[in-house]
Amino acid sequence: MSAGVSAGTLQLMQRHRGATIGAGVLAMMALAAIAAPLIAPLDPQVIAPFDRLQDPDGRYWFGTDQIGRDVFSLTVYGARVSMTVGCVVALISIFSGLVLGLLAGFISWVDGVLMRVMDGLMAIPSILLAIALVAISGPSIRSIVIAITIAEVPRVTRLVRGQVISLRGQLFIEAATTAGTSVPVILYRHIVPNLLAPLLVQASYVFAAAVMTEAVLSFIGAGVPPETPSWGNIISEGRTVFQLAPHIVLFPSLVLSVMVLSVNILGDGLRDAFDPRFTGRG
Amino acid sequence: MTALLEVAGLVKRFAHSRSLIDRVRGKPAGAVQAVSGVSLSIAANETLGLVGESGCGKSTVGRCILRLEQPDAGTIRLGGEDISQLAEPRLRPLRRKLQVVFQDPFASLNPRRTVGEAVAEPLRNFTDLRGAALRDEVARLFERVGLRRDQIDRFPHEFSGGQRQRIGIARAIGPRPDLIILDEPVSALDVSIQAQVVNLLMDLQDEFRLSYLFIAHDLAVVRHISQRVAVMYLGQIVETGPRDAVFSHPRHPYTAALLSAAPILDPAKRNAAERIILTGDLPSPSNPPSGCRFHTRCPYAQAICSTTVPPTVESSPGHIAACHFPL
Amino acid sequence: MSERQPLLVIDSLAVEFHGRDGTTCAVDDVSLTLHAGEILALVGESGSGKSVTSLAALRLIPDPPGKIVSGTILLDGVDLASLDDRALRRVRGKDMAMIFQDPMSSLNPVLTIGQQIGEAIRLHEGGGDEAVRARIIEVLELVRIPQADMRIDQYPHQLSGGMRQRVMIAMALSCGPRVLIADEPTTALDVTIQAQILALLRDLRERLGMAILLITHDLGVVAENADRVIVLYGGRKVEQGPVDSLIRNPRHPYTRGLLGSMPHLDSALSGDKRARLVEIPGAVPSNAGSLPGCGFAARCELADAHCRTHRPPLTDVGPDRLSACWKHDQLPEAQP
Repeated sequence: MSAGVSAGTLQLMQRHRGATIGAGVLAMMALAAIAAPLIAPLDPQVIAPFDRLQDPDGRYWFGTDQIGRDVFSLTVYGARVSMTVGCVVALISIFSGLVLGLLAGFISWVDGVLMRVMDGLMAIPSILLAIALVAISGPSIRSIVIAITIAEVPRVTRLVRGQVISLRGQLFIEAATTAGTSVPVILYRHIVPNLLAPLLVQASYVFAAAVMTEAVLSFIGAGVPPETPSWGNIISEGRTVFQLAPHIVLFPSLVLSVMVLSVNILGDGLRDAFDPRFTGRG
Repeated sequence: MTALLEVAGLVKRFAHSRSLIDRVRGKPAGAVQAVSGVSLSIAANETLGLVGESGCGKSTVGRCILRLEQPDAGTIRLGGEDISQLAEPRLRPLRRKLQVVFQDPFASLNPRRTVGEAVAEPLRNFTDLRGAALRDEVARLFERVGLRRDQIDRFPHEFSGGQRQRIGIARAIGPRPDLIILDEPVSALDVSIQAQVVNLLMDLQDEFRLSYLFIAHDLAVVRHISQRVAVMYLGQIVETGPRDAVFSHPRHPYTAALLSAAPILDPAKRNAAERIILTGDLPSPSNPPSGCRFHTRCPYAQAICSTTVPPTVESSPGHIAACHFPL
Repeated sequence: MSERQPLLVIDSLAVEFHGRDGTTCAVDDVSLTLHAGEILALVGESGSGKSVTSLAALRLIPDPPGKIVSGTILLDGVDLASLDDRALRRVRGKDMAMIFQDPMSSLNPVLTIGQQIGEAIRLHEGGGDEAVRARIIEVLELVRIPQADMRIDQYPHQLSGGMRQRVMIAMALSCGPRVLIADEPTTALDVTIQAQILALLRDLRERLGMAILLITHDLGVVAENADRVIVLYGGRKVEQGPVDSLIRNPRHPYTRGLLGSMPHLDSALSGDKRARLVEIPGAVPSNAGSLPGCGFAARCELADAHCRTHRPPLTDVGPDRLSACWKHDQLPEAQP
């Protein structure tokens, strides 16, 4: 259906190296997260007090923390939390934003009310909003996901609404009207397909923001419970012994940076790939 | 015999947006008087050319007839039924009789759908054709407009401007309409392609007994394709009549000026002394002149022209002009 | 006809564009001579290379992706290709100026008319504020803009399309260039305004002895305003000659087809039955400039195998008439 995902995928990948690299790194991390029990050499919960605060070596690739847990295994399991939060938040906020944005774009009174609510939400820094919501419902992956989603939905809604409004004025939409197509069919046949590309790009940015926000929340102790390994948790605990054992902070931070960076590169690459200048040439 | 399309007293205004302060103060919004009382009629199997310069409102007239804009006043009778205020669900089945070809062939096609799907859309809405039968009909339409069957599954960006316009025409004739509104259908095309498309339109009109409302600013093309012509200026029709009469003996000074401004190829037929060059600029459509709207630029204007709206004078059957002193 | 010295001489110009899909030859061996006090028209449809030729004359082709591959451009004897950027900037505006199709996008919306015209004057002629303002008013009156002293402080959006085009002409004329390149100056304008602007250009030619290179696709405009015509197709010159002679008796199938496919306001009306327009089948091929034979062969009814493999040279077909066609003598004498 879409001209951008047609034959010549190899050629496409060659041209958009950024997107390919970003996607590749992410895929590897996702696989690692799913296969954590197989990859992590040691159970992260195992406490080995005699091996605590060890530097990275052949056995403990990323070293150990204050209570002797293998940082590498912790990091691999931590990827689960990050990827889960990232994916779920991205999915829910894109879907909600799509529905809300469509409503706002088509029904003017809904637009007025909804946009004021969204503006209000966007005025509150997402971290603070998330903290407040977590404080109400207690720390757990579910409340984190809900909190971050609420913070991200307004941006997506705004994007969709803007696109819908500009699409509505397009000549091919008017052509569909004169061809006798009813409004619901115009929505699903003409409008939504033209929204998919910017939504996909936005999804990647939402994913990155969600991962970052979760890490920050866990870092300040308002995120996932301390028993569940999360990059934020690990970094937070490593903070106190940073002088002695910097590897506890460094490695998870590095991995976090790489993930966010690859998501952003993927998003930029996707945006370029969908740019009509590239798809325009047959 | 009732005409196929009868428009009477069509009015359309576009309100200027007001700043918040003006809105609070209660200042009334000014409005662009895009169409101020337009009446025209088109018979079956006839082409009415609607000409005028930019800002005269001719495109708006077309869009109102298509109900892409909601008229503020007036009636639009299609086959006797007034569609000007009809709600969308009741209007939709009537759209089968009234199709359109737009000026910009690229913008009127969804870039993410194949051209076959674009042409199939009205057929899907108005006929029972589906599946292989639908595909077959689309293929036949493609061939009728000079394209190939195997191009059905391509995307708009793979075609040239002339080809895209042919696709737009295929889409318009699919549901076998009675009337097609053509809004500057050839202005964006190269001259040699224009000829192909104009010929195609004329052939299709003969074959399917179509009527056309041909909206354009190019007088030569309008003269070639139309049986009757209407000339618009600043939201109003200033002259209407059979093509030959209007082009050979224009009765309204604006029509005469328009005709004399167009370049003539043959030097022997050029008469420099006859060229009327209009002075001044087009007045703002938000604030049209009083009386006859053309009086500010008319070489023959007199006192009454600025105070009184001119009457419609019929100089010969079917040939009318809105002027106090028709030529 | 008085002796007119050649001001702009373009000799065997070739321009290529390097794109992702390869190299296209936009202009292939085009030569022209523009004399003082003359209006020379460059006619062609899209892909003919007419705009590229004019941009190349002013060295305005972006490089990359475009490149002047060969040819010389002599302005009053000076080879423009040999000038460095600074010298070139002095030429642009002062000796040779250009006006474009869409005046709205060529004018800066946030500067007043006076500021924009003044910019060129200050650059080339200098002078104090008083002197510059006086010169601006002088040039606005030259292009017949009424109430020049009020208009000078207005912004582009406050003027109509015709006025904006006049302002562009004023900007182009402000430093008294001897050559004016007008690229589709009236295409975006209504026919009544077009008549005004073209009358102005003719007037300027009479009063100032300017040489004007008029680029257009409209043969009607050419017929009424130009002295000589060059017809371009697919980047190559296919015909050249004095305007009346060329239009009355075209000696290239493309020119003939172009004239036939236009509906003319002055043609005889064939009563009730509407005549078909003469069609040129097909469309301009995208690689016309790189074909071994004649670029028009694929659409020409007279073409044969020889035409498709051998590029026709420009031959003399009459007094000051050139045509690039192997079959030009097979064309019947045209009726008016």
